[in-house]
Amino acid sequence: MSLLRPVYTEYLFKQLQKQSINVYGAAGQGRERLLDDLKTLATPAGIWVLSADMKAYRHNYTGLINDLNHQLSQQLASTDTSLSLEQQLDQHPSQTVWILLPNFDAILNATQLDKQFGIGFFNQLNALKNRPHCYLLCMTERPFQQYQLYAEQIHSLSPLDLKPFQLKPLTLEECKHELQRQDLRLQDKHFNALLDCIHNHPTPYLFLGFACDQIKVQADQGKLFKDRLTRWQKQFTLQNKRSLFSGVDKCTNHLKIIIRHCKPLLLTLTGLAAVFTAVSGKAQLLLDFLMKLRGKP
Amino acid sequence: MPKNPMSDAVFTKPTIPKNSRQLLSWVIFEPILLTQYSNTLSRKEGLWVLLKVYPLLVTCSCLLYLLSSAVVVGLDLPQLFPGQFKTELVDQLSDRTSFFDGYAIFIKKTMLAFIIGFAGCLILGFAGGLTRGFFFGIALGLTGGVASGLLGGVTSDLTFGLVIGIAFGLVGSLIFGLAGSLLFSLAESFGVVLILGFAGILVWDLIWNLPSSLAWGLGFYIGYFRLLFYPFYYFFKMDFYHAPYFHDAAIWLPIWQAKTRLCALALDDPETAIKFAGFLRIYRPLQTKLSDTVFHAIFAGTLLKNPVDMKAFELPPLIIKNSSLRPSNDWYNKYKSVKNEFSNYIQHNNIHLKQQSCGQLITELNDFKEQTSIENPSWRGYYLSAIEKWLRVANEELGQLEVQAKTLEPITANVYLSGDALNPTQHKAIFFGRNDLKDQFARSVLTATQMPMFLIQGQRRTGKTSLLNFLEPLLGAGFEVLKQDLQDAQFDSIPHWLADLQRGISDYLITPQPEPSHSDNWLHCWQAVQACLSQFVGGQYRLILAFDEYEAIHSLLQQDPIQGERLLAAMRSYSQQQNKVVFLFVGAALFSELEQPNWSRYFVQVQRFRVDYLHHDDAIRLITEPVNLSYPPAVCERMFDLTQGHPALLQLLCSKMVDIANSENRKAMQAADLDAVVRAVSTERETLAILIFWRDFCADPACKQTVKQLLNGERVAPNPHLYRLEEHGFIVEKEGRWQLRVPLFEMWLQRFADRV
Repeated sequence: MSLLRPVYTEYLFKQLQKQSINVYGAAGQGRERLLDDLKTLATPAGIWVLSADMKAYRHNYTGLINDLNHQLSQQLASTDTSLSLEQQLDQHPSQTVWILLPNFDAILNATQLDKQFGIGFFNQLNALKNRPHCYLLCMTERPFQQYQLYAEQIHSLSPLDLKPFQLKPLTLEECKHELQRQDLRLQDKHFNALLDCIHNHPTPYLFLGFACDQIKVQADQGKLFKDRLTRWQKQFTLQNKRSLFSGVDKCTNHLKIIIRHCKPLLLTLTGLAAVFTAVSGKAQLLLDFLMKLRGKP
Repeated sequence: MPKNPMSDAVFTKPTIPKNSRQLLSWVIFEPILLTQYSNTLSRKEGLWVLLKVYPLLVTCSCLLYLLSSAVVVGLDLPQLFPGQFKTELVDQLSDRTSFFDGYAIFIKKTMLAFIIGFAGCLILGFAGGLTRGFFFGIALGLTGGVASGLLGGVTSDLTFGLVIGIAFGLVGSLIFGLAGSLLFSLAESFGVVLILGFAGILVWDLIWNLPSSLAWGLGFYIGYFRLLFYPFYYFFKMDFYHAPYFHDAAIWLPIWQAKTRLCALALDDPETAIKFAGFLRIYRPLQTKLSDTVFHAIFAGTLLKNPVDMKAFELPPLIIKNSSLRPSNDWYNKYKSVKNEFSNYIQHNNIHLKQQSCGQLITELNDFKEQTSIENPSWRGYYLSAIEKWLRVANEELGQLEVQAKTLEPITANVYLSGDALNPTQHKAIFFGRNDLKDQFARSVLTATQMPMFLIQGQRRTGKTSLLNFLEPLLGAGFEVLKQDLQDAQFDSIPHWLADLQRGISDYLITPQPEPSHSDNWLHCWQAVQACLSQFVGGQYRLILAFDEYEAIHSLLQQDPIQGERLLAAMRSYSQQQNKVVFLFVGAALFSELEQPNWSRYFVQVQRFRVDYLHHDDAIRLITEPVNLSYPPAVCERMFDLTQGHPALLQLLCSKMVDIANSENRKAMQAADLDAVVRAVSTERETLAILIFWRDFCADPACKQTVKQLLNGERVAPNPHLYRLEEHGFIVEKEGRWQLRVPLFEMWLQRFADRV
């Protein structure tokens, strides 16, 4: 399988053999594909790869741990299911292991998730990444340090030390090679028009996949290629508009985050107001007493 | 994209009309083709063709007459506008019972006038053809026929004046219009036409009356500017295969949105656009502005379609005919700079150099963008969008190169170059020392009473060519260096060499020079070079003619030693007679070693500058400064000791040390790393600096024998080879015994002396 970003994947491959990293980039740039390409490079190098999509497990901490355990057992060809992840890793101290966690921001800046994804979980991750030959890759949309964890309280994530690497938008050359691999048998000018469209698209990798599918099924065959492209762009945009429910979900999450941030302030203000009220009552009494002393009403 | 022969056929026009119908259509729509065709005909042939066309002309005119009569009768125009028709005709038509009845009456009454009018035009046309040529004849005949057909029984001054005006206008535009547009600008032509029309109005007024003359004037302008056809142009699809420009050569006025649409298409499809623009250039001289603008869009479109790709520069040079649309010289220069920088960029293999070049390309693109933004607004927008794309893609490539460099050279870039000469644009970071040589050279040139020959001599691979490349920036203002590289033995004779030298000097002087002489008499060839050099006035600076690997000239001189001696004498004489041109020979051989001809006999006053190994401090700087590594001082000293500052060997060791640092991902270098590198170099057969010494310098077996004796530690009796080794700096005397100067040479030779 050819790599989508040969230069960058090779670079990350080397980096991931000496440190844990946070790869961040916008959606639609081929993040999952990058992880698949890394797995492709890891296998012949004898590296064990464990991978779990945090978006799927954000409400199910136990499921995540079980999945990782199961993957490691399969690599070890072990039938003993009682061992924990750490215990299994202890059995092979010199084996290089990668733990790839795409959509890691599903458990960050979020209030609705399994409560076990708290500070304890991050300490566990820290412990794993500090083991020799064990490296973590967390994939997020923004740099890891910009997130906060909303567990029992609000935490910043500085204890989990990951070197950030930005996943830049696909270059023209990368888009071109990926398109050529699809073997679409287009005329040169159609190929160039499609390439231009993909390169300028905000989510190039996703749109590339969509457009290639449309071409393979010969969608809108009778129209001019330029018109077909315009139509597919509109269809793609409609298809990827978020549903109403996910929008409501997001608003609820934001509201909860705001409340959690404002809670300490509100508490402080309430306390101050109470103190002030108490003090002002007493002050009023004192003032009345002083006035009486002076003989004024 | 596969060629479409049917579609591409529209871009060429036939030179001979297929039939009379096409010939008649050429009269109205292709006057250039008609003129070119008529120029190929003799007068007799022209008249014969004219006569062959007449039957079709008669038919068309009659049909037009019949049709126009049907329209007149059908719409009952005589009743509606009785003033425009003869009273008798109006009365007779008012009594008609049916359309056919009225039609018959109309034809009966107007046929004679039509026949007389048409016959008159035909005769006039024929006479015109006899006196003024085929083109004139057919133009008159056709327009006369059309006018007669339309007029029929009309008697109105207004209608008559209008139709005749249109006819005159058409004829005028055909005969004078295109010619005028070629002689004058469009604005000037427009002015001339206005004056012609006005003059025509005055003349017609004298012949007829004022209303008719005004109608004539209106008709003239409508006919001349072909406004009748304009509405039809909008029925054509405005693209490169169907545009109305294919069908009418005499479109004067711009068609609304045509330029915008065609230029937008050209940006998308420059390959087809260039065929279309070429068609306009050849067949549509009235569309020069349009073709120029489309050419701009083609160039910009090619850049847009091929960002950071050599294909963008494969078009022929951009030639713009209209001076108002021509780019400035600065713009052309910036374009050329981008092209040159891009050529440099794609040639580099070294990641580090490629990065530098890419950065430079981005700078050139930004300059080009700035220049374009102040050019003519009618075309600069096309280029600006292309330049933006190039900048975007170039920045992407730079990003990729940076990542690649971090992958391949995570610790430090390997900037060392072992084997190739250094140049000032790319290798400033690794060029050290040689300031003493530079100072000596400048002083000798500036203080010489009689200009000597100069020789930069040194062992192979010690940096002579690198010094030559850096000479101009080192010497500063006051000197310019013109280098001739004789390294690849590309010349097979002295005349060939001198011709190339003359061409190099001519290019440098820029002014046109005579063709080099290829005479077998070498002195004649030299005199041609001398004549060329005499044009160099010098002014504030001196020209240094540098011959790199000058021993190659000696090989050519040996073909005829007698002529060779005369040539050397002539060169010496020229050098001594002036002080603006300096001869500088660069090579490994001493003049005294070159015989037949004997160089030292003719160049007695040669100033020799020996290029030796780097001094200790310069060598340590070369090891430590260009890279981000940490060297223990002992390691640096050992590197110097092993190489004695030999530039090529030192660069080789440093390069291998950097490779170790990058592969093992550490900055701190150790003695063990140097041991590994030395082991690799001393056991590598292709360590060129030493291999060249053993194969070339020690080509003589006796010399090899001497070196082997030195390697074995034996005392060697004085002999010419020993002196030669010492003179060229390969051996040194230590504690009364001769030994090889560079320990790495010794290590390599211990292994390979008997194998190579």
